[in-house]
Amino acid sequence: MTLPLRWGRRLLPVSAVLAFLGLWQWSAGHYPPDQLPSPLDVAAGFRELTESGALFEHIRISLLRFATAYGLAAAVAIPLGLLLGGYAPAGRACDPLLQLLRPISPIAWFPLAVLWFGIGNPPAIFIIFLAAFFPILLATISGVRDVEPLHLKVASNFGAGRVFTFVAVVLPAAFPHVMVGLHIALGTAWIHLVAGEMLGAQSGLGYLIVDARNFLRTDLIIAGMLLVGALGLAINGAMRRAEGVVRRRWGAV
Amino acid sequence: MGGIKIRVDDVTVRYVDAAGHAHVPLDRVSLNIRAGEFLCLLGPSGCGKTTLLNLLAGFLRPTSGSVSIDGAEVTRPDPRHVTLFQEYGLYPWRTVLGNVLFGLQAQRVERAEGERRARAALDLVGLGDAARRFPHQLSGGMKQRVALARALVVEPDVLFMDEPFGALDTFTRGRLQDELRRIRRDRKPTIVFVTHDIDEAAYLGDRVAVMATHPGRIAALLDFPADTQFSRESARFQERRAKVYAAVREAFGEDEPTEDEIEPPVAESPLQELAAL
Ligand SMILES: Nc1ncnc2c1ncn2[C@@H]1O[C@H](COP(=O)(O)OP(=O)(O)OP(=O)(O)O)[C@@H](O)[C@H]1O
Ligand SMILES: [Mg+2]
Repeated sequence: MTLPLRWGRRLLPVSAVLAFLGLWQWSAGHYPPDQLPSPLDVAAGFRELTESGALFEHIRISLLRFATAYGLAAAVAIPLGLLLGGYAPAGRACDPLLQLLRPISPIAWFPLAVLWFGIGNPPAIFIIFLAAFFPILLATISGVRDVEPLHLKVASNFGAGRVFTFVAVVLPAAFPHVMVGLHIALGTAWIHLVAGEMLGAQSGLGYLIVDARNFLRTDLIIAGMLLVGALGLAINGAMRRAEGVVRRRWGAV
Repeated sequence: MGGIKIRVDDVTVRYVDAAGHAHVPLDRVSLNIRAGEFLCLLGPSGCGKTTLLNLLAGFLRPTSGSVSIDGAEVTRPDPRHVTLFQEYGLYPWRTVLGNVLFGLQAQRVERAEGERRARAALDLVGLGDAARRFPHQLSGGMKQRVALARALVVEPDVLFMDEPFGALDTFTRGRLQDELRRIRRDRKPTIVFVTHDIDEAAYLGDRVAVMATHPGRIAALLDFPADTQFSRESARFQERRAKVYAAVREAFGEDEPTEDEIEPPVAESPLQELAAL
């Protein structure tokens, strides 16, 4: 009885993808390739990109920008979150400001990003940074605030000082929350990578898509989009594995 | 048995809720606890047992009255008086050994010395082999043993225990009760033990304070001869049980507390049932 079930589990998503490709191929027959290229056209465009070698350079640069911005966001947001969560007056003071800034889409920062940072690398990094910053910050703050009261009670019973309590109880207790924030931030930041790279950058996956549009190479646009999706999927998978390790180690089932 | 260790003098705890109603979990409670004795606080849910224990342990200040230990007023928690909680309060990111080391690290005990003491404490509670495991890999009984080792390793002279075995099955609970008796014979700490289990109070307590609700107070104080040798099958245990049961009935009249809080004194203890299998 388990055999058909397991087959079904594999079979269903595979057939969904095949059906999607079939539908796409069929629809593409009704439009000029400039508007809607077929999957085969896209595959050919993809081969063209890999053969020239330019693709890997674009991927490398995008990943580098992404890592820089994401790393910067984590490096700023985690300590700041620990401060705002751990020191109540600071948290109360900054809370309204955070609530005000948080709902503003990184896209709305585009004009300022260009005004402040010009074009190229810096505005792209700035946009990705913004996209990653708030999820990490808010998760860290709530992680620190949500430490089990019993865990703090035990620490105070054993005469633990403020520093020891922070290092030995608050930090490790907040850690899984910070991981969740990092995971969410990974997704939102990756989504904004393409947007950030459309701000006058001369390289990267976002540039690849903009550049293809300028030459009406719809096949390359879609190849670039699919590549962004696939890379995002891979990064997310790696993150999920890291989070799983943390959760097991922290005993959260 | 030594002199007075803990003095509770005319203590009241009052809360006024948002609607302006006053709640009085403890109303003018006075109690002297002797050095080295095992005192059980027995009572139904909501009678202020935890509130009283939190006062003794320094987690809570009274609205009026005072609590002192060794002649000094209790104003905050103190590592010489360690509390065990029903929910254990183990740190899930630390190993068993790491948890036992916690109190020693907080007090900056040197690493090698701390590890030696922690391992000895784990041996004492029978968990020498589980040192490298994490709390989520342990049963409830093992978790409470770790918490006990973590408390004992700092060599406290008072143990406060808030229904420490309340979440355990009867077999495990019986075993831990016996271990607590043994540890008590070795270490001679003063123990204040909260429970709503009449058997547990009769089996462990040198004295049993029966508490009543609305307002929370001590309704009766039973004083038994110190004895940690009698078994659950002994006539002495049955006698103690009957006395505690009678005091509870007197404190609550015929209708309170409800049946599931009190078993008739003739029922066999679960360990006897286990032995009969
Ligand atoms: N912070 C508080 N504010 C208002 N009322 C409180 C507060 N803390 C405790 N109480 C009340 O005090 C009473 C006694 O509570 P306590 O936790 O001491 O009971 P308990 O005897 O330990 O009960 P249980 O066996 O269920 O643990 C309860 O009625 C509770 O509602
Ligand atoms: Mg309680």
